[in-house]
Amino acid sequence: MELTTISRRNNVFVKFGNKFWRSKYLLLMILPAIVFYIIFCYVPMYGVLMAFKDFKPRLGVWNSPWNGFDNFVRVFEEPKFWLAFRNTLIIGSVKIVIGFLGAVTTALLLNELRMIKTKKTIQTIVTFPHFLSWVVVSGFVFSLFAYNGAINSLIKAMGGDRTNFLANKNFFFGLVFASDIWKEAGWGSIIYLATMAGIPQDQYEAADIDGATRLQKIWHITLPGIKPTAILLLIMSVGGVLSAGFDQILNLGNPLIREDVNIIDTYIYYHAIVGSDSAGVGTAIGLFKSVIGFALVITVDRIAKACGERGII
Amino acid sequence: MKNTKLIFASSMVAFLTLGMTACGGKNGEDKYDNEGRLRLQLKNVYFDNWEGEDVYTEKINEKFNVKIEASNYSYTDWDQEVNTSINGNNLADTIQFNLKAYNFGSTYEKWVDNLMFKALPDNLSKWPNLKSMLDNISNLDALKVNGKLYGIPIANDISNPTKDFSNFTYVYRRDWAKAIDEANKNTAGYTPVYKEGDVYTWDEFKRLVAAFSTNITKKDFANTDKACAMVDERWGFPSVTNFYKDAPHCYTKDANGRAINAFTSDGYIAGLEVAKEFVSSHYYSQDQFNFDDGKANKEYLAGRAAILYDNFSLANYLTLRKEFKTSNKYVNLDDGTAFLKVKGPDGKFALEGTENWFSITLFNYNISDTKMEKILDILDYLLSDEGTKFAIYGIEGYDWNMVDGKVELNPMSWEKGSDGKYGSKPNGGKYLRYMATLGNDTKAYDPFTDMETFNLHNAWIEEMKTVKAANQLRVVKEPSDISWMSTKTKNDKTESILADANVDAMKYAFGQYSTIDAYKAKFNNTNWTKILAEINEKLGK
Amino acid sequence: MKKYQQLARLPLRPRGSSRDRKIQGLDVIICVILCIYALLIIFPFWNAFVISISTEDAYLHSDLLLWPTQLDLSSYKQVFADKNLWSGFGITMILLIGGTLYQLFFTVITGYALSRHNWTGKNLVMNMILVTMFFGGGMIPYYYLIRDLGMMNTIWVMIIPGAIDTFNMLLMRNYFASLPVEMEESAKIDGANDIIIFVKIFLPLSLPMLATIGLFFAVGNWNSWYNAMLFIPDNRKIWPLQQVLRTMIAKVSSNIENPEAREGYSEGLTMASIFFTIVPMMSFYPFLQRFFVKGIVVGAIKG
Repeated sequence: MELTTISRRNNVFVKFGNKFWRSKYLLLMILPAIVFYIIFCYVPMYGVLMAFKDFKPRLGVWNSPWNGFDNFVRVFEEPKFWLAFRNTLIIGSVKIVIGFLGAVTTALLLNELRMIKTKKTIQTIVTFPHFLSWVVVSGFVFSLFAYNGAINSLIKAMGGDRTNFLANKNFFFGLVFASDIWKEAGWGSIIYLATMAGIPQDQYEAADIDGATRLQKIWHITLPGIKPTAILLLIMSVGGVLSAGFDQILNLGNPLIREDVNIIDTYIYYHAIVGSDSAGVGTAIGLFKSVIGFALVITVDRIAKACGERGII
Repeated sequence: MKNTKLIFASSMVAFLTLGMTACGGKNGEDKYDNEGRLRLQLKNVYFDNWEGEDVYTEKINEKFNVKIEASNYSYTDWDQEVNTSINGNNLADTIQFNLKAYNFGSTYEKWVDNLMFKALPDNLSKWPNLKSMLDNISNLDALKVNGKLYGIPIANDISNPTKDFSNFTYVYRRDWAKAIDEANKNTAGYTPVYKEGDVYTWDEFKRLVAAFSTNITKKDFANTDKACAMVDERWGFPSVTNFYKDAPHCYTKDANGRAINAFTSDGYIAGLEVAKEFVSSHYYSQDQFNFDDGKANKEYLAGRAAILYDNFSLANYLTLRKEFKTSNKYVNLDDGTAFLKVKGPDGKFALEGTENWFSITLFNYNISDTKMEKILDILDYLLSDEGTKFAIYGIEGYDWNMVDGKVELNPMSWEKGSDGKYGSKPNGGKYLRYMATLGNDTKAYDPFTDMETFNLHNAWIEEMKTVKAANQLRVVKEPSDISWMSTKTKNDKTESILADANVDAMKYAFGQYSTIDAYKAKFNNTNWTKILAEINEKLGK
Repeated sequence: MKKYQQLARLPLRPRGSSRDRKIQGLDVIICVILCIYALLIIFPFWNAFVISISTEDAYLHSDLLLWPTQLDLSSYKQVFADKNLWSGFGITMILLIGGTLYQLFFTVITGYALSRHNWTGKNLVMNMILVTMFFGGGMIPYYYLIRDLGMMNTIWVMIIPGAIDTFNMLLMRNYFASLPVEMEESAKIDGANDIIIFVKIFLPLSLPMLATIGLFFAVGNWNSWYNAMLFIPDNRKIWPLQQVLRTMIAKVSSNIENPEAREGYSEGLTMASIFFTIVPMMSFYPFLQRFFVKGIVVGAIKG
C-alpha cells in the first residue's frame, strides 16, 4: 500500500508527509523534549530584553521601559567589573592547564602502577572528591587553612609562623587551584587511563624487543597515544573558560578579598542579585558573557576543524 | 490513514500549546480557606521557624476570622531572598525588609517608586495602640516617601523612646583582669589593670588589652595559642575606631557643613591606625576577617577571647549569659560577662547612634484594603494590654489567671526546665507582635526573662543615659539629613561603596596596604566624587 | 542478536607495560607517590572527622588533632536530633528515587530519538537543543516562568525542570549512535517499530550506561539545594536535606535584635553536618565506582 501511494502521488509534500509518518514513534519520543526545551529554555530567553530595559519588577520584562545601552555603559564604566573579567580569564585558563596536567600525571602514574589491588583502591580514593559539593570542600579548606587551622598548627609545630592564607589574594588563588586539583584531578584521569588502555599492546611489545626503558615507552608510546583525546578535551574546556567556577569562588571567598577575587558569575551574584545593581545590569553582564563565550566556542571549533581535529559542534 | 495523520499532527500542536499555557495568578489577592477565613501570608525574618501552627495562632485566627500562614526569611540570606522575591514580583502579603540608612534610598525608596508596596492609611486613629507606638518612634518622617509611610517600622524599644544609642559595646572577662592583678601584686611598682566599676580611660583600656594579650595563652587563662585579647563581630570590626570616628557609615560633615567621606576623615584614619596597631600586636584574632556572624561570640564563650564587641541588645545579652553559664561553669557569671565601659582619647564614652527601629514590615501593593485592615487589627490588638498579655503569657484561664490584680501562671500548662524555671513555648501572638515591635518593651515584666540579666543590662543603659545627659557620651551617628537623603548615585551605589570601604578598612588594619595613602587612594573614584557632589548640591554647599 | 550484544560489550582490558612482572625501583617510587597522593585526599576528611568527634576543649588545646583525645559524639547527637533534618532526608529520598527515574526516562528517550538518523526535522531539534547550552534567559525570567507555572513552593520545582540534562542526554545519544545499526535494520525487516526496537534491543544493551547516568542524576539530586533556596522559600517542610543542613550551619546571627535568632554552633557541629551529607555517598561509592567510570569513559571516547 505504501508503495502504491508513493508512486501515485509523486509530490514533495506527500514525500515529506510520508517520511514524517514513518518516523512517528521517534517523533513521539522527541516530543516531550521539544516541549521541555521550549518551556524551560526558550520561553525565559525573552528575558535578555531586560539587558536593554530599565527593569521594574511590577511591570515585568515586557512592560518595563527601554533604556538602550545604559545598562552596558554602567557595567563597562565599573573598574571592578573589568577586574572580575580579568580574574575569570586567569582562573579559568590556569585551571584548564593545571587540570590537564594533574589529570594526565595521575593517569600516567596509575597506568604504570602494576599492583592491581592497590591501583583499584587508590583510584577509588582519588576519584571520590569529584562527588562532593563545594560547600563541603570549602568546609575542609577552612578547617585546614584558617589561621588556627591544621596547616598553620603544623607550620607552628615545626617552628614557623602562622600565616593568613585566606586573607591574601595570592594565597587565595593558590587555594583555588589546589582545591580544584584536589577535587578533580583524580576524576579527570579516568578518561586518559581509558585512552591509555586503548593503545594497541603490540606497540609496547615491539618497544620491549627494541629494549626500550619504561620512561622511553611512556614518552614515545603512551603520551602520543593520548594526544588526540587530550587535544579534544582541551578544546572542549576552552569553551568553558568564562565559567571559572561560581560555586567554588562563592564558597571559598571571604569578605576581605571578595572584590579582589570576583569572577564574572560571582560579580553578577554580589552586585545584581544580593547587591543593589538592577536586574537589568545583571542581565547585561550575563549577555556579555554569553556572547563572548559563544564566540570562543565557535573560534575554537573552527581552529580545531582547521587543524584536522574533530569539531565539537 | 489521512485522518490519523491529521489527528496526530493536531494532537501534537495541542500538546505543545497546552504545555506552553502558563497558569499565573496575582499574588496578594484575597483568598479564603475552606472554612471561609481570609488567608494572610506573612513573611518575617527567622522567628524561631514559626509557621503559624500553634494553638495561639489558631486563637488569633478564630478571633479575627483569618488563616495566618507564616513563613520566614533566613537571616543569612535575608537581603538576597527579599531581592529575589521583589525582582520576581512574588511577594507575600507582608514582608520584612532590613531597613538601614544606607539601603533606604537604594532599595526601599526605589521599590516604593516602582509601586511594590501599599502605603498605610493616612489616618491610623482606628488603631490607637499601633498609632501610639508609631508616634513614639522618633525620626519617623525619615521613612516617609512623598509624605506616606509604606510600612510599619519594627520598634526596638518603645518603652525607652529617648535612647538613641545602640547596644554595640564590649563585654569582658573581669575575672581574668582581676587574676592578672592577683598574680602580679607582689611585683614592685606594678599598677593594677583592673578598674573598679569597669570604667576605663583610653590608656587604661590599652594597658588592659595588652595585659590580656600577654596572659591569655597561659595556663590559668585560655591555655591555647588560638586565643587573643579582643574579638569583634565581623560587622563591627574594627571597633576601636568608634572612639575616633564621627560617623558609622559613609558620610559625615566637615567644619563648614559640607558632606565628606567618613572613611578618609582625620578622626577615622586615626582610629584605623590604632586598629592596625592592635592587629599587628596580635591583640585581635588574626582570623577576624574571616568570621561569620556569631563567630566572635563563640570565641568568647569558648574562653578564647577576653573582650567581645557585639550587639548587646537585651535579647543578645540574655543569650550570652545563658550560654556563658553552660560553657564556663566555674566562672562567676557576672565577672565573665561584665560590661566594659571605655572612655576614648577625648575622655568621652562612644557608642554608635541608632534609629529606634530594627527593620520594617511592608505590605504587598496588591493586597486589598480589607486584608490590610485585618493585619492592622491584629497588630493593634497585640499591642493593647490584653493582646500583650496574650503574647507573653498565653490564653487567660488556661495558661494564666488573674490573682489579686497580678498574673499568675498556671503550673498545669507550663513545663519547668532544669533550672526550676518555666520555659516559654512557641506563641504565635508573640511572633506576630514582633512584626511591630521586638518585645523589648515587655521584657521587664515577662516571667521568662532572667531578671538578674535584665537588671544588669538596664543598669548599663541607665548609666549611659546619665553619661549622655552629662555630655560625656559621644553618639557616633551619620548626620540624618544626609542619611535619609535620596540622590541618584547615592541610591545606586551607597551599599556597594560601604561594603568596599569596610573591606578596605579591614585590609588596612591587617597591613595589606603599605601606606595610608594607598588606603586613601581606594576612595578616589567616580562613585565617591559623584555622590558627594550630589549630596553637597542638595545641602546647598 | 546475541552476537551484537557481545560486540557492544567488548571489555576495556588494562594494558600498558604490565607484561613484565618483576617489580622494579620505579614501581616502588610510583607506588609511594600515589600513596602520598591518596593520603593528601584522605587527610581533609580525617581532620574534619576528628574535629567532629572531639570535644571543643580538645579542639582548642591541641595544635594538630591527628587523633581524638577525648571522644564526644554530642555534635552528632545534635545533628540527629533535628526533626527538620529527618523531613529533609525524606524529601531527598523522594528526589533521589522519583526524580532520578523521571530524569532518566526523559533523558534516555530523547537521547535515543536523536541518535536515530532517519526522521524529519532532526537537525532542527538538535540545533534547538545545542543553542540552549550557550544561551539562556537568566535567572529573573526563569523565576517568572516558575512562578507562572504555579510551581513556587511545591516539590515539583525540584523535579520537573530537571527532566532533561543536555550533557547526559548527548552522552546517551552518542552511546546509542555507537551501537551497530545492523540489529535495528534486521528488526525493522521483521516488522518491529521504533519503540519496540528501543525497548527490546537498545535498552538491554545500554544498561551499564543507564546505570551510570542514573547515578549521576542521583548524586545531583542528593546534593541539590539551589532550587529549594530560590523557589521554595515559604515551605520548609519540603526542603531537601542539603538545604536544611545549609541553614542549620548558617543559622547563627548576631547583628540582629531578633530575640529568637541565636542557636548553638561549633566547629564540631559544622563538621558533623558535613559528614551527615557525605557518609551515604562515601559508603556506596566504592561499589558503584565502576559504573561512574565506565559511563564517563564510554561517553567521552565515543563522543
